[in-house]
Amino acid sequence: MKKTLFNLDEAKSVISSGKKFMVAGPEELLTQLPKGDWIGGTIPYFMGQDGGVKSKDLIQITELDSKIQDFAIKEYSADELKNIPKDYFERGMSFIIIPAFSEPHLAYAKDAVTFDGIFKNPILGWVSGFDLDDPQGKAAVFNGKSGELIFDKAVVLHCELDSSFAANIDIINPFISDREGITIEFPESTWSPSKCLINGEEANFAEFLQKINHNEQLPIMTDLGDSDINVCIMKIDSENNKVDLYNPVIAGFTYYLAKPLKDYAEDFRSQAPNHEADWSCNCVLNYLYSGLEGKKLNQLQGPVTFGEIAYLLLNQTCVYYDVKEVEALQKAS
Amino acid sequence: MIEVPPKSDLRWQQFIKNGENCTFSSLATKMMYKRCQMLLKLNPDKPEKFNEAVAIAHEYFTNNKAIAESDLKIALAA
Repeated sequence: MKKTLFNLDEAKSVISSGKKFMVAGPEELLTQLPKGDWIGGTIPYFMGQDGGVKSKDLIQITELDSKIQDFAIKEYSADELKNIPKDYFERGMSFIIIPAFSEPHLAYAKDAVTFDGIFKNPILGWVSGFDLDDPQGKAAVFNGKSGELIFDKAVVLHCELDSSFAANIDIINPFISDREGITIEFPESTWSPSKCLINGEEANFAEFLQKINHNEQLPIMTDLGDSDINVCIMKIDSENNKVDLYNPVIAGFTYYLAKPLKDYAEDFRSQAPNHEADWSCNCVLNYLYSGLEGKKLNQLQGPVTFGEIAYLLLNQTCVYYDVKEVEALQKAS
Repeated sequence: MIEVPPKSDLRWQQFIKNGENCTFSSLATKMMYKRCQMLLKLNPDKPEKFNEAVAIAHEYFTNNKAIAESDLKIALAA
């Protein structure tokens, strides 16, 4: 397996090679890296060459594909996110990193599906985060070109691809929604819902989850054709009668409970590809609930995140992509 | 290799109307179709949104033919 985790001195040397990179690591280390053609986000959890690891001394660097011909790094505030597709290359793909719990995080979750042209090119990335043991933790992203640490904007690396290659994004999501069961709707888009409709009847979401003795490892899910998008539970706050979430629920969507998994780690691992993807990221909840510290997820490496982006904002998934020859893709289809 | 028909091709309209019964292999196709469904659901009294949905699907398949060719065949048969 290729090496992606480096100490600070090694990381400085890798970045100085002048290639294009996706970078992840603690804020204190990212700010010491040389300027270059890279974007980064804060996180101390990684899936590395030796498996899952939490470290404040390591930086994860993934070299982007050599088929990338041109690129541009841009920053977007919450209001500017809708312009991302306008900045796509004619043929290419884009990598995005958004700071967790920032305005762009909520805006992307709520509105990305409506951005004109969002599906024209592949866009993938992750939501940066912080040490879950640090109650003062704050997520940030980094524009390697300008050397700027950013807390309130998303950073995007737009890439132009050689015309004989195409990027394909896929996800691992072991959860299946119970669409024959309870429906849940929310009157407003929020990270911390209290009011909701259960099967059309007004209810308090925290009280409802407690009443059914809901396993907090299981997300609620909204349907996406024959697959689903997870919304993950951080904490049922019974004192304040609300539920804190890792990604917001969206007004107008219908949510369902996830069916229980037989074996979280095995159900997740069985869906993972058996090849070394060009880049991947994996949700911090999968890292924790699957016990990935010190263990590999087949050959996937990448940051452990507070949210994954595969066109839209996802959670409790693993996102990966590969650049493939168009000719090979056509033969396969 | 299958060609992406022009937006005026009636199969696009059939796809927007009947695509929910299709099983697509590409994550992007599933998400794109969800967007088309949302557009129509949120604007039931705006018939022009149907053409917008057709344009979204057409643009998607035009730009992603390499990764979504098998889904294009399914979409055009919807």
